[in-house]
Amino acid sequence: MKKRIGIFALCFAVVFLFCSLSSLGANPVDVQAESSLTVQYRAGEKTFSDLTVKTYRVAEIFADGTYELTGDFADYPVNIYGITSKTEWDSAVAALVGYVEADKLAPTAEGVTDAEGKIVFDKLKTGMYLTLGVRHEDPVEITVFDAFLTSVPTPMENAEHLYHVAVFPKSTSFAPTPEEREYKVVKIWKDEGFESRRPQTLTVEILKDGVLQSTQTLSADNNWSYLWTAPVDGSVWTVVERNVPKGYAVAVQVQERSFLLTNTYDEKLGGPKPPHTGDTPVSWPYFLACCGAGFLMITVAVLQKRKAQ
Amino acid sequence: MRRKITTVFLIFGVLLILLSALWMVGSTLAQDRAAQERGEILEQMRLLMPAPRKGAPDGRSDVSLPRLSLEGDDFVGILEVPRFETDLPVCATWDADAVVDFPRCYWGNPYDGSLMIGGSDGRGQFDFMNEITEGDSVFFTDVTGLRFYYRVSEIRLADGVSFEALSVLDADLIFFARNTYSLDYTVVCCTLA
Repeated sequence: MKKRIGIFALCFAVVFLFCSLSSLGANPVDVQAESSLTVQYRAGEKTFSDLTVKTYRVAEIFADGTYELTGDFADYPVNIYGITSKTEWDSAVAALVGYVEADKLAPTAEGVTDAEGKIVFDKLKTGMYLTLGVRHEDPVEITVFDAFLTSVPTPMENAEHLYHVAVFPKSTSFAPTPEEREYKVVKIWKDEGFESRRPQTLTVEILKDGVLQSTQTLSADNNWSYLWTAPVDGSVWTVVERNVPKGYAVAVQVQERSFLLTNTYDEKLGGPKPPHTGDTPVSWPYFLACCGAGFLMITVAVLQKRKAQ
Repeated sequence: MRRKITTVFLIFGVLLILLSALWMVGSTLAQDRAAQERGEILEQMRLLMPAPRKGAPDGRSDVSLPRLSLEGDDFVGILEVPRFETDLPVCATWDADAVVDFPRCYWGNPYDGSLMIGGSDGRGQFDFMNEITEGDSVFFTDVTGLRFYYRVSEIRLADGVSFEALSVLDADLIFFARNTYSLDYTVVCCTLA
């Protein structure tokens, strides 16, 4: 499989900058300002026209630079607060994409890329936007552009805000193969000290190109995992967790054909304290004492017997 | 009367020796069983974990170690010491009495270089503690497939281990085990390679 990483997506850097807005002393966000989002679908010199692109306003931005999940997204158990690494953003994106596809949410804006592979979503309200991944197929290869989150406006280094944002999403290209490969969904827990809050079972929905393929129950009986096989034909698989236990937030990490559903318990009680190391038990002194006592008793008994004779 | 006492001594003596022998056999069998269980868990982990990729401190906000729940226990990753062909699943929760079964995460995480793992020097586990040397490679792979590469930077002997004593050591990964016969601890400090 030929893997080609396209132009690095600007969006994550944008979001990181956005997170540190307050500390940078940035100017207040004009939440009423008209904004736009331009997305350029390009992999090297190749541009991608006629791609249908959907974007969703997932969070509202406030003047002080903070934000909050909004609309259809307000009740999803996905944490987008205090995130500081790309891995964490990727996980939040994958979780949100799963809910969008499973719940068939209507996009805030939708359009088709022009001959240069460009699409402009204009007259947008300020906010954080989730743009779904798109796929392009030709006889030689399949190119998949990742979904991404973008803050509109985007804070700049000079403490100003850029209200007309341009993004170049990351792409992966590969040759289609009818060969079946193994896919897996695995439940991961981040709930140290709160393990008792875990449910007995969890339900996950597995979708292929947005269409529900199967619903699986994960539990200790199947080691909180499910494996299936499918050809690598460029289909986009997503996994969404239903009935998320109260107090947990969901993140989805996608590693090739592995979906790691991480449930993080959000109650932080100052973090756990280091345990006492304790001493690792060692059994040989007891063995030695037992053996020694046995030999001593036999010796005494033999001596007594001899003395008696 | 004296004859009776002699007989009782003889019987008890033989019983104690038999008990010791059983103890020894039982201990060996328990070690074998633990090794087999570790192998099975390792196999499960390899099946469920994504393909490894290079790990490095990434400035994440949530540094808690993700856990994989297998056969009723939570596991945080795999510790590998290639020179001794040792691959061990690392259990999430600390329990000094249970390190004979699995090495256990005592404290910390690899994302900010604070990971500490305790184990046993029993057969098939940290049985290389007397032979490991500075410069040896060590890997820790978390359950999301992030693989951190370390090199042993220092090996210490200590009468005991505590969080206070371990946390001041200059290391990104520490693993330790009590030495069965000398009853002190070998503490292996590693730094990211």
